[in-house]
Amino acid sequence: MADFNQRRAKLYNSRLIRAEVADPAFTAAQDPVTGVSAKLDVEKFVQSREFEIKEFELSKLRSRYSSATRVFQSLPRSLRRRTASHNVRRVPKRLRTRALREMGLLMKEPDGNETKGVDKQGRPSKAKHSRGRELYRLRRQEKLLRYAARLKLSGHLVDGERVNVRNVKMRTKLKELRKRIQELSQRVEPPLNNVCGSVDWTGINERATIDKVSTIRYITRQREFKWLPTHVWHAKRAHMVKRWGWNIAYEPTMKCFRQTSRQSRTKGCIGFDTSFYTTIVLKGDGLGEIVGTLTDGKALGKKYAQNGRIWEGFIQVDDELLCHSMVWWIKNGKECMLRIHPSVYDHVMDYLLSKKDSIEVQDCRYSIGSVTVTGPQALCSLASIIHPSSQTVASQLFGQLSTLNSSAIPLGSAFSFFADDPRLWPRPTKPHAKPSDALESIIQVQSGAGVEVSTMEALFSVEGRVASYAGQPSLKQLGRRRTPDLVGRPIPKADSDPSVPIALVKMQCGFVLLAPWHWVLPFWHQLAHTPHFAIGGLKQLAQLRFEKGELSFADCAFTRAGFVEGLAKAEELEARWAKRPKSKRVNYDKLDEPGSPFGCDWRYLQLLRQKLKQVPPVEDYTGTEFTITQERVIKNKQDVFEAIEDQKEKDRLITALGKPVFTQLPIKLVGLSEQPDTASSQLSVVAVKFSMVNRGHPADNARIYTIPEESYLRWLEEAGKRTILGKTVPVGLECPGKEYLIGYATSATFNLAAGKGTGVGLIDAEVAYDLHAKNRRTFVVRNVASTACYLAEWTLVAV
Amino acid sequence: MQHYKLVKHAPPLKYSYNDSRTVVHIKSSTPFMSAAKRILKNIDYFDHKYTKKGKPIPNQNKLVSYIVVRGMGKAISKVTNLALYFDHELGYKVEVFTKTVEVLDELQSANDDDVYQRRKVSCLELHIDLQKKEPQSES
Repeated sequence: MADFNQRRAKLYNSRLIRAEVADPAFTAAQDPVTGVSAKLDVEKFVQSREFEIKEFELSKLRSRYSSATRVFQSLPRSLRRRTASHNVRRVPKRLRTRALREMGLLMKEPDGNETKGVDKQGRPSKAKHSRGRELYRLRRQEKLLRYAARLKLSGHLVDGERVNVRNVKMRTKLKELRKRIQELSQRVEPPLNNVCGSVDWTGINERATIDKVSTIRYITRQREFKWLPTHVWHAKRAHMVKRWGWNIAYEPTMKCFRQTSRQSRTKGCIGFDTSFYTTIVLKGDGLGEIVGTLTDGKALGKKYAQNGRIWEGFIQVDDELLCHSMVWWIKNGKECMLRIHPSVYDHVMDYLLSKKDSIEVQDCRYSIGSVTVTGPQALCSLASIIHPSSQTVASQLFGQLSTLNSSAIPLGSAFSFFADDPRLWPRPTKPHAKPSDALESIIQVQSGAGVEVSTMEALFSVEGRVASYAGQPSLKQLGRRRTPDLVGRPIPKADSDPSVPIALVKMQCGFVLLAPWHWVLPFWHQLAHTPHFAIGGLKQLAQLRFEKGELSFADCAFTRAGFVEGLAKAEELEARWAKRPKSKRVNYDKLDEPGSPFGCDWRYLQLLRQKLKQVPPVEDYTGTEFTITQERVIKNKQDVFEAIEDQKEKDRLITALGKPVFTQLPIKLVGLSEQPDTASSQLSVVAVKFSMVNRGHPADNARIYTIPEESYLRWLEEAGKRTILGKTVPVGLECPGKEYLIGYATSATFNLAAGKGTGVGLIDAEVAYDLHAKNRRTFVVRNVASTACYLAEWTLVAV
Repeated sequence: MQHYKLVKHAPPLKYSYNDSRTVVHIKSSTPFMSAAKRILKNIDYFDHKYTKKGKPIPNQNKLVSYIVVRGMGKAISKVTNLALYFDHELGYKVEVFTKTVEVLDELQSANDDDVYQRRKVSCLELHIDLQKKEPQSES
């Protein structure tokens, strides 16, 4: 109560304007010694007024702020809810009375409530019409009734065949109906072995489809873009995007650039639902040849095919790089698992299905899901939700390593064993590992001791996954089994409870937990309750790769999917730019950007680098000439830019006719080991990462220039300058001309891991080879629509 | 002759969330001042805190009495410099321990099985007390 009074007093004080009651200027009474009567002390009088004016001003501020903050604003950021903040039940219990008072609800006023939509107790008032499920049910009912009425009127049979009702006699009508009922009742469907409606949707030698769903309610929303197992959970907490036939979390609703960086490097962990990655199981004798073609023979080595190590790298079809993927051999050269990015699904599936005479293709894109967890705590978090069903070598090894920092586990480490239903435990349980020699365990895991063959067979076969759904209890059933005496303890496992085959793999992106599709959600729900856990979306996956100086999906502009992604992004940026009023947008026409200012213009780079080679050593400015085929003759540098414009105009015409401009992409990725092939029509590029030497804050789509020979030393000198305090100074050098353009930075920004601006991009391989030979490790980077350019140090990125 | 690629792995550290406040790991690439500031920030975290009115806020981490600073191999000289800096310039009590850490080396081959080797690396550990030393009386 005292506390309450104190706060009331505080509010009262905030409204009060203090004034000096006993004014010293007036109170000097008659001096007893000198006998001089009281008079106005001017200095003290002025001081008093000054005090009062200040108080007046302060009180205005105080009364403004005393009522401006609400209690939910003092919560940690992740607990704050702006929406429905009038609902006190959104506020933690300890703050509810205060929240109610702030809304004026405890003050006993005649009508009771002051806040809209809330009753006297602070509960949301009863809705005027039904909402949520109730509303859905009513709408559905109405639709069905309408449909039935229409059918009755038009004389349709149930399956849609049109019949003229007048010509059909009652007996025929009944006969037809009976026949139809019989047909329907005799249709054989694989029986469900659980109450949750979990079905395995594997496509054998064909593309997988979701043909039977337990929740028909949501099927209309998934016609084109399917939901991930955790869709409903994510849709409440993240912005979703529709890509590659999936509804995927793009980024969490809460800002998280710094949090993502910290959780991935220093403390905690980040989880992603990566079920949109497609898993394909391949079987058969012709497998070696096919995997060899896909991986350029790299995944066929003894250590992969025979000893079960995981291969990670780029796959290719018809000498075209497709995407970063993973190959894991399940059975010695007979069966393997391929995990690919959904953007290349059609391309890879077409290739694999064309070979189905020699292999069996099991498309598991809707039957094996995955969760990726990254950050130092990743393994501990996973170990607190995965409870092995039995004590085997694999599960023991997992237990021994489960307390380690995730960075200590080498890439390619794999565990696989049967685990219990994670929902049996009321909350994540921290693992207690017995002290053991961690290095010995790691070596054992690397030699394949962490993988149980029986589990692998179960996880990557239809029968095994179906068996894992047998008797899968619903949350309601589990709730009934959780009796009061089990508070804080797991529900004892019943004989009918299934064991789940899971595989846990350390990959470049973090720990990947592979599980049957309908088991992903239970694992995710438990994982979300582990301490220091954050979620991420596609944007965070890209951010993590960027911070490590690796190429993310969108950076791979040398793949068809990545190239299209770049074009789409540029189009979106351009549309956004065009929408702005003319006076408020950058006038790119006047800036003379090399290539489109909205993205990385690889076509421009390809034409520029190739046409610059045609410029004769002695430039000729006598006039423009054309060949018979109306091609511009390149006689000087100016002609190069004109010729690029000509070519781009031609491209535009081809696009307008609806034909594809590129049969092959303008760029091709190569290594730096040998001198690039210059005869090819594609421009050879290498992937580089760079960091700023001195100053500079690079942004996406920044232009990369090589330094002209004559100003090379001046650039180095300027960039090395420091003030007497060691601070950097701005470089006062001009940007090299358009003819020095060698590439684009696909993603670049301030890197929290490095503490300065860094980026990744692609540059002309020929220039890179040249720079490498001269041992020059620098180039110049300039942002779009900026005249400032900065020196950057580059290194090669191995793809 | 087989061609192997050497991959050095991180030492097998146990993960503990609380370590992020009490343990600082130093790499050879960590800038000296950035390490010093990080240690000072951690010391400051465990310092007594007061409300605006001067009431002490109860410290929940009473058991922590020092910050641990660790560095291996090439970073040892940097850790030694940090010890000197905190001891002589800032006046903290610093204890120095030497240790040996076992790490894993992986010799990767393109096709054949990888070879694993254990290697022992020396490590220096500092315990920097949260309280500063008593100023010594000049005699």
